[in-house]
Formats: sequence, structure tokens, C-alpha cells
Amino acid sequence: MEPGFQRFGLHLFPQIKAGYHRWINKRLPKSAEITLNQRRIFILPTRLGLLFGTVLILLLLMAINYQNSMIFAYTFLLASLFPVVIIFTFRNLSGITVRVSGCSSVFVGESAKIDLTVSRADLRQRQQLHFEWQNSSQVTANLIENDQQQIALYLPATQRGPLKTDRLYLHTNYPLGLIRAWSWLRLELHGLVYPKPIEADIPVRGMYSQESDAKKSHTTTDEISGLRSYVPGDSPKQIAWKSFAATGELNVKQFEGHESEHLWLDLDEVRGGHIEYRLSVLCYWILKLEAENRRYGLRLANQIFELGSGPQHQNQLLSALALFGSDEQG
Amino acid sequence: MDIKAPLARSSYLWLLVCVLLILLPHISRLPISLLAGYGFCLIWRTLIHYGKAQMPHSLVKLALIVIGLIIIRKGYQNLLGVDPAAAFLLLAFIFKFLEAQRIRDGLLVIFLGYFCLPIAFLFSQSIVMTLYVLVALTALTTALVKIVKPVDQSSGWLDIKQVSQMFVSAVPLMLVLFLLVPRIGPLWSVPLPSGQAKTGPSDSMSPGDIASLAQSDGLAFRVEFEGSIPNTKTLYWRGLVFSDFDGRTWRMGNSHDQQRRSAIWGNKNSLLDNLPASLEIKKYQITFEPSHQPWLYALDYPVTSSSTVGLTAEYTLLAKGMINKRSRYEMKSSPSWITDPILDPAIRNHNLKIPDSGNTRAKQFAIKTRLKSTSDQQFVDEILNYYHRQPFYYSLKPPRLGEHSIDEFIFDTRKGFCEHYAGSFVFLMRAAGIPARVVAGYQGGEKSSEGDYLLVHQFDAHAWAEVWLPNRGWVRVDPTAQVAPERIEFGIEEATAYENSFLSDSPFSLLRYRNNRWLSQLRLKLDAIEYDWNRWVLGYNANRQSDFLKRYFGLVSSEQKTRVLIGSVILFLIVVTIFFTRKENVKKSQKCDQLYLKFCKLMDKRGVARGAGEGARDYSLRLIGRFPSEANRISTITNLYSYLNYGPDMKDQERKRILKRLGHEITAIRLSSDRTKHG
Amino acid sequence: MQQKVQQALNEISQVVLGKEDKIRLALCCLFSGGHLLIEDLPGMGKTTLAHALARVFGLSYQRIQFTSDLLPADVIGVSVYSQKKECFEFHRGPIFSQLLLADEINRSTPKTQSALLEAMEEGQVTVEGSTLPLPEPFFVIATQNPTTQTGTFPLPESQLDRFLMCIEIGYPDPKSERLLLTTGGDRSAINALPVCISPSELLDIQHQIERVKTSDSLLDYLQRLIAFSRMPQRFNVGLSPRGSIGLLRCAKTWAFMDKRSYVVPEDIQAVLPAVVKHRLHTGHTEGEGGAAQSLLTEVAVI
Repeated sequence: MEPGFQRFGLHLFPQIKAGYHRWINKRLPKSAEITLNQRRIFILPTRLGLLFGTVLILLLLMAINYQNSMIFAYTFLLASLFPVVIIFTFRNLSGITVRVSGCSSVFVGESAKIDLTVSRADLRQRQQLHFEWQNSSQVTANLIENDQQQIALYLPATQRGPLKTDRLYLHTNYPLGLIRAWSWLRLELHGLVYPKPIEADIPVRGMYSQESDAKKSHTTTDEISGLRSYVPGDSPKQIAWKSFAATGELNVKQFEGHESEHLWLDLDEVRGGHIEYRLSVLCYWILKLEAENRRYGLRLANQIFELGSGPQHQNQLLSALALFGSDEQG
Repeated sequence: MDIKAPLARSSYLWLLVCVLLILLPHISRLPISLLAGYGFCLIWRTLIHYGKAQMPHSLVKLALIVIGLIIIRKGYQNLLGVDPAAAFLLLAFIFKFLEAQRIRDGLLVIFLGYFCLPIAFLFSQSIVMTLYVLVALTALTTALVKIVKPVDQSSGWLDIKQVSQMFVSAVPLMLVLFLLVPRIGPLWSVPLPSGQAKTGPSDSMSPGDIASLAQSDGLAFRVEFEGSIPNTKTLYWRGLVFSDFDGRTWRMGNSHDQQRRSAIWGNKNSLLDNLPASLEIKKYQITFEPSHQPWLYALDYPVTSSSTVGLTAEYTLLAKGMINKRSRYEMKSSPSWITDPILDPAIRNHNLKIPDSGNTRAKQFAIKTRLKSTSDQQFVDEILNYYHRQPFYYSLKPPRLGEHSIDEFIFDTRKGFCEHYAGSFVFLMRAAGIPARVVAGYQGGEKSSEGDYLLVHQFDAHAWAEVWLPNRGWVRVDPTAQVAPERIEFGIEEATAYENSFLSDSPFSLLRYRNNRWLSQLRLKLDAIEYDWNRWVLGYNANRQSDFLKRYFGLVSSEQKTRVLIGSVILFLIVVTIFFTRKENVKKSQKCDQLYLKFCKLMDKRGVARGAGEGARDYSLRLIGRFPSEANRISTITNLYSYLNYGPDMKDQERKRILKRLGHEITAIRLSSDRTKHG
Repeated sequence: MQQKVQQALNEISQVVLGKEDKIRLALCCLFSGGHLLIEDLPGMGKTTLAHALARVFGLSYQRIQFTSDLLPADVIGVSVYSQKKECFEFHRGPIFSQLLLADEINRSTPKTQSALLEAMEEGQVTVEGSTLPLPEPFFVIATQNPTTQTGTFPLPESQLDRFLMCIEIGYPDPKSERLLLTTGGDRSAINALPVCISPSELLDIQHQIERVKTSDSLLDYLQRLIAFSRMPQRFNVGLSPRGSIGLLRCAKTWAFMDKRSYVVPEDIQAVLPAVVKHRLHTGHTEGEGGAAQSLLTEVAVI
């Protein structure tokens, strides 16, 4: 990470580092799609490049002392290679477009998968493009025959709210390893980090707090409310065989609807604990009720989410939990 | 790049190739035992690669290093020379390769390789070697690329292509640096490669010495004359003067050290100033091949000296030390200068000495003949006549001579090479009381293909005589010319044609086939290239640099040079940057798009800009609404463009035709818009 | 052939006044072999348009009014136990016709909706283990009320994707409205419409559409559009491969209807709003057609 700092020992001076980061952030605005140009690319020699310089000096000494024209020429050729390598390394990175092509929402403690599309607009080959988050392994992309490549990065989600990222470090030292060209990608991610689900008693308002309701599964123990005529696709279990025997009409038992099982989850009903804990409990129940195909609503302080079910509904509620208390809520 | 990661297996083969390429030029020079050691290491590493052997234990490594050092110590007497140093560097290089396990080791091998590769230049800087080093350098750099990208996807050829592209791009800057970076002298003295065979005449001459020299086709030196090249007959390149004779071998009168001390150094024109102005002076430059001897050569009689080229009392030239690398000197000679008009008595005595015993027949013959002649000059002519009349043969394979070598040669065998003639002639002169001495050097030379310089080979080695005559000083006499005039006029090949002995020891020498016109031209062409190479590239030192920069660029002061250097580097960087970061074309339909975009730009200037997502048809409708007078042209352009870009497949020919028409229409609309603007 | 298309267009314009562009899109959808969804407020002439389309194509058609108590069997058909034959007998539902007019499709429950939509995709119906093919050609023209209306069950995205196009009709312009007011919206005129294109001619047209040329440049543009639609920060869900194939097919038909043998970007642009309307959602509430509009203006044609 940040090769310049470690190499030159600048990381020992926090003020410089902070100022440097401010400068970087100003220089590299946040975006969901970034095309690398000279404004965004930084270049410095690597340690190997410095070693190369040392070899050049030794070669020059040999040429001078032996007054050997060809060793002079050899040394100058290698020295001239250096600026060429700078340009080759630069062009290996420039013109690359990195786009966030997908970003999953996750629960605290999981790793968010971020799909990036690396593409080029020209026909130039790109090799050894390394992507690195802080503290995570490196992913390498190559654009040789292909014009674009998908890569997946995993970002550990530690904090509830919008998925926050550090700058993504994109670097390459291709072709000779003497020069490192790098850039920081400040990618705009649209992922959310939901609270970590924690199991606890169901937090529903007093009038709905029928614990049995929640535990009751969608079974046949409901009361039969009536019969209706058979429609293809109805389960044979629900056919009223008794009435068929009696009347010859094929009827189906109709059960009491589940509309009465509307559950209003409420933040204020979670007993005890920190706000994060309470959100976690709500999160647990949203997942559980959705899995049981219930209809459920949510009250989050002054936000009210109507009853509903289905993945979209669940996402809406989870998002509300994720953003609760942050600026972006609503 | 994680330098601690293990080295990829594919990188290994590249490294092996590089190691072999770097080792190859040194094979003939290294002691056999050391070569065996290097081979052992390479085989071991290969076995490791195939999983048949283990990495060497650190003790084993230590033992190997010690053994290597012992071999180097034994193989070379002097540990400070270039050869042992090169051997040691190669040893370190191969050892690093043997223990290369991680990427870091691989990188170290490569960088050691970068350092070891040019060592080959210390021993040879020929064009062939340069090309070889370039190939090896490309391989080495490709190996570096392979290590940098551990998981390889592309083929090696692509990498070689890219590396070559980089080197080709680097060449202009290299040339600038080569020409402009100031050349400074050695920072400290270093041993030069030595132990090579001496070439050219040595400090003594026994019968057969020059004959054996004449079997070599090596180049002695090249000469560039100011003005035309003189007649071959007159080209006597004097190098050594032999005045001591022990009955068999001719030696120099003074030791090398004595000569060096008594020689005139520096002060270029001191002799010249004392010479009459009417004397004919020839100016020429000699590029001298390393001979590992101190003698330098000049036409009769050299009249200048310099700080590095000394002029001896015997009118020969001397270098400060052994000539171990190609060197160049300028010389002036005056063929008609009367040297030593008055002979110092000591020198006179020295040049009359012959062994008291032996060769009595020759002595008597000389005295008898001298008594018959009226003057020294007539005596000289008589003796030359004798060589001419009697059946003497010029031969590269003369019979062996016994104790009385002069007697045997003059009266019995009568077959000999130039040293036999020169030696016997001087002996006869001295016996008759005329100061005489043997001069060894080269005679003649071969014109280059362009005719602008002269090549003097080892087989042009020659020996002739000098006699001192009153008022005329030292006079050159060549008895060989009496026996084999073609030797002097056409060279040794002609003179020995009858016995087919020329270069009979080197059947592959191109020089043997001088009669084949094509081969001859090829050989001379190659030599011309090598000559230019040596002169312009290898000989490009501080002096030549300042001459070159002054003559071709008018650069004199170091400040100017620095400015030009910096300017060229910046220019190079700009050009290369622009070239390599230019937008590369993507699609073949781009031409048509470019034309259309030109049209859009034109219309934009006239106030109607096309939105990014606006198609050509929609745009044309808007345009026609705005410029109804040009409706025809606008819709033609739009239709042509749409047809080209989206229409049915068509032949290239038709595509070109439509493109051309589109271009015409756009030009027309630009002209009309210009007119409206101005009108 | 194009004259016939033009004739059909003219005939329908007699009935659905002042909506030539919408009619054109609807015809394009049917020529492309896709199902059509008409979305608008009640009383905008959705049903009239659907009827007129069925008439001019001379197809056998059935109409189902979807209600909240409509059951799958009402659409597909039902097996009834025949006491005479002592076995179940399948009574074919209204879906067994060449053109099915599904009115107010979002008023019924999801179950019924999916019964219909499955038939749309497969071209066949599976009842009690046996598979019954639907007639050829088989079109569904569905109408739906805006989802904001009460008493609706919005169609899930996966099922919306099965409609090739989704068009809105919109209010008529004042001139057409005046005409409408004076003629009083004569529904009987629909039944008087002549058949312009026979089923065999329809197949022939579809063959010709297959041969319309699409150049590399055009496909590049199409792919740029698709890629843009899949940018997560702009749209919730990108254009599916089915959607992009449909878009190209409609563009080809549009080029054919324009009497051209090759597709130009304007063809894609013409059909794009209708094809993407029900497929793309910006996630923001920036008004209807926002998605299509940003695609059309922001994606470079060249």
C-alpha cells in the first residue's frame, strides 16, 4: 500500500500523510466509473529500479576505466531503457476504465463482493494490473485479447450503513518491474451493510404480540372458512373429498386467510440493548418472517413501513435498518 | 510482485538460456576445470528443476565457492587480471543461478547477468560480438519480463516482441548519450586483458621468423593517407632495426628500455622544424591493431613524434608500453630525407660488427668483390647483381640452415625468404667494411574496396637492408627485389605463386581466395565495415568526441554540449511519450466515422451541434430545418454515411468509392460555408 | 408488403384517432412476434386499440376481463368430471385463440397472472400432466392500469419481461378529441374494419424482417446501450439478454416498416422507449420515461 510512503519513510510523519491524503482525495474525485489518465496515474521507480540504477553506475565505471566503447554503448542503452520503461509502464495503466458492475449488500461481519469491470477503449495490451484493498489479497487483471475483464473483490463489512470503502489501490510494474505506476480508485459503491441478525424475542406491539402467531407455521390447523369449486392446480390435499362423496361436486376447502397475521415489528419493542443490538434483532425477524412468507411491517422511530412481503419489501426494510441514524436515511 | 514468492517454473528455462548465452563468449578463455565446475552447477540446477535433486545445503555451497576460488587461483597466476576477475564474476553469477529459488533470487540473477554480459566486450568489441550481446540482452530482459508476470498467459514471442520494441525505442537516446556524454579518462588504473599472442615482428630475427609471420592473414594496421596512396613499391613500413648479429640471429642494438629513454617524445614538430622546407612530406594516420609489443610502424623516414609515439635514433617508432588495444596515431614521413649524413663513430663500429669466426666463405667473397669495385656504391650494385644473376629463389619454405648460415645460403641452398636475403646482404656489406643493418617491418599493403585506405596484413611482413653511404646517409637496399621483384610490386602472393605456399596453413582464410573477384570484394567490404566500426565506434574517445562535435555540430564549450545533451534527452522523451501514448485506432469503420464527425464539427461551428445520442438522420432533419438551402447536400451526406456505416455488406472497392464521395461532399459543404461566412 | 402494413395502419387510425405513432409501435410489436402490454388510465382507448389490431390481422380472438376473483382455470380451461363419460373432461379456456385480449391484467391475483404468462412464454399449456399447444400465431395484448391505482396486483418484473413492448396511449390531441366527441366514439366501427393482413402474410413479413441487415457499427451502438443500462448506479436492473434481443428484433421490424433493408440507430431509438419502459427502473422517481430518455441522450451513437 502506498509505496511512496514506505519507501521514503514519509509514513513517519502523520501531518504530511494527512495532507497528502487530502491532496490525493481532491485530485481523485469519487466516481462509479473511472478512466485512468495522466491526472490519476502516479509513477515512481521500484526498489528494483533503484538496483537497476546501481548496476548502471557500476557499468559506467567499468566502461570509463577500461575506456571500452561498447561497454559505454551498452550502459547507455540500458540507461535509455529507463525512460522507455516509464512510458511503457504508464501506458500499461492509462486508458483503463474501471467500473463497478455489481455490489452486493451484506450483513455486518460478512464480506461484500464487489464486481469490477476493467476495460479498455483501444487495442493496446494491458498486463499485470493488480487491484488491492487494504489488508486484502491482490487480484490481477490482464487485457490481452479481451477488451474487458470482470474481477471480483471482497470487502469485509464491519460497520452498518452504506458500504464504505478505502481507496482501491491499482498498480502495475509491467513490463520490467523497474517502475511502478499506480492510481487510487475512489469508487462509488451502492451497497449497504445491514445489521448483523441476532435472535431474540419478537418485537411486536402489545396488541399483536401473540407469540403463537409467529411460531405458527402455514399449516392446515387453521379453521376451514368454506368451500369453493376446484380449479386445476389446487392441491389434492385440500379437496373436500367428503363433500365430493356427498354431492359429486369437486370442491376445495378454503382456510382462514392469513391476513390476520400481519406483524408490525417495532424498534421500540426490542428489549434492552444498544441501538445496534436492537436493529440486529429487527433484522433477524425481518429475515425470519420473510422466510415464513408472512406479511409484516416495520416501525422505526418515526418511519413507518406498510405491511407487505416479498424480496423487494424485505430489501426496503433492511435498507431502512442499514441507513437508520445516518444522513442518507429515507 | 511478491519477491519472496517461489520462482515460476517457466522462468527457470529463460534464466538457463540467459546463463548459457552469457557464458558462451568466455568458453575458449576459461580453464577447463572451471568450465567443468560451471557445467556441474548448471546440471545440478537442471536436475533440481526436474525434481531429481535437492537444493544445495549451505555447507555444500560454501565448499563449491572455495573450490571455485582455488581453481581460479590455480588457473591464473595473477589474481588481479581481468581474466580471473571475469571468471570470478561468472562464478558468482552461476552460483546465484544454482540457488535461485524465489523471485528475488531470479531478479538477482538477471541483474548480475546485466553486469556480467558486457564483460565479453573487454575481450572483443567486434560487430559480431556486439550483435551477440544484443541478442543475449534481449533474452535477459525477456527473462525479467517473465519473472515480473509470474502467471504467464502470453507466448514468449509476444514478450520478445515487446522487449525488442523497447530496445528499439531506446536506441535514439542511446546514440545521443553515446555521442554527447563527456568521456573522461580512467578513474583508476585497471589491468587490461593480457596473455594474448604477440603478433608482428619481434625483437629478434632468425631465419624463418618472418616466413612464419607471412603465413598469417591477421591485420597489422590500416593506413589513411592525406592525398593519394603512394605506389606500393615505395611503401616500406619500418618498425625495428637489427644491428647485432651472432652468426644466426639478428637482434636490436639497444634494449627496449634504452631505446625508450633515448627516443624523442612529444614536441611534435621538433625534427620537422630543422628539415629543409623543400622536402617532400607525406601525412597519414595509422590505426594499429593490438600486437602486444611496443613497436609502431612508419614509412621511411618518420619525422614527428608525440607524447605517446616516440621516435628513436634509428628512425623507428615506439609506444610507451605494450600495445594491447587498438590505437591510432598520426604520422609524417619524408622519403627523401638524408638521415645521419655524418655517422657517429660508435654507431659506425656497431654497424660493422660481425662474428669473428664462421662464414668465412662469405667474408672472403665480400672482400674480394669490394676490391674489384671502385666505390661502395658499385660494391652494393655488384652484390645485388650477384643475387640477381645466381639462381636464388624466393621461397616461403626455405631449407633449414646449419652452423654457417650465411655461407650455406649464399653458396649452397640459395632458397630463402626476405630475412635470408636481408641478413646475408648486410653480412656481406659489413664484411666489406660498409656500415649496414637489417630493418624489419612491412612492405606494401592492400587498398580497401573504396580505395580510401590501405590494409597492411601480417603476411606483408618484410625485412630489408640499410647501408650507410657517405653523403647519402642511410640508404635502403632491398635484395629481395633482385630475386623476386614481384614481391615488392604485387605482394607476397605473386612472389610465392610458383610454389603455392601462400597461406597454406589457413585453408579457410578469405585472403587465400584473393583471385576470386566476388569473394575478394566481399572480404574487402567486410573489412571496410569493420574499419569504420573500429574507427568511428570503438575509437570514439574524448579526442574524437570533441573533434566530432566541433566539426559536425559546431559545439566547442562544455556548456553548449551540456545544453544540447539535455535538450536531446528532453526531445527524445517528448517524442517517445507522444508516440507511445497516441490513441490507437480501433475499428475499420472508423474512417467513415471520422469523416462524418468532421461534418458534425463543421455544422457545430455553424450553430447546430449534434447531441451524443442523436442519430445521423435525426440530426440531418434538424440541419435541413436550419439550412434549407443546403438540404440536398446534407441529406446526401447523411445517406452516404448511413449507407456506409449501417448498410448492406459491400466490396472494399465500392466502400472506397463511397468514402471518396462522402469526402468530396463534406469538402464542398465546408467551402460553401466558408463562402457564406466571408460573403 | 409494406403497402399492406400501411393500409393496416390507416385502418386502425380510423378507429383510434390521432395515435398513429402508438399504432405503429403496436404493429411493430406484433410483426416482431412479441406480446404487447398497453398501460394507461381507464378509458384511454386501450381496449379499442387491441380490438382494432385483432380485426386487421384477421385473427381469432378472445377477450378476458381480469378481476380479482378470476382464477387460472377461467383463463386456461378446466377439467370437469363428466358423469356421463365417468371421467374428467377438459374444457378449453379463452387462452386457446390466436389473439388473447387480457383486459386489466393487474386486477387479478398473481396466481392467475402467472398462469397466463406461462402460456405466453411457452406457447403451450400444461394441464394435469398433459401438454396442449396453443394456436399459431399466438399473441397476447394485455392492458393494465397504472400500478398506483387501487386494487391492483403489480406484475412481477420477471413476468413483465415477457412482454416485448409496453406502450402508453395518452390523451388525444384536441383535434382528435373534437372528432371523437363529434362521432361519439363509435365502437361498431371496429367490427367494420377489414382484414388487411392474413396470417400467411404475417409469416411472410416475419421472414422478410429476419433478413434486415444489422451492421457492426449498429451492433456496437446497441451494445453500448445495453452496457449503459447495466450500470448499477443508474438503473436498479439492467436490460436482460431477452430484452436486448427483443430490442434488436423490434428495430429490424421498424426498419422494415420504414421500407429499408438495414437498421439505422434511429430505428433502435424509435422502439427503445416502448421496449425498455417496463424493464428498466431508475430507482429514482424522476418521472416516466426517464430511463429511456437518459439512454437515448447519453449513449453516443457514433
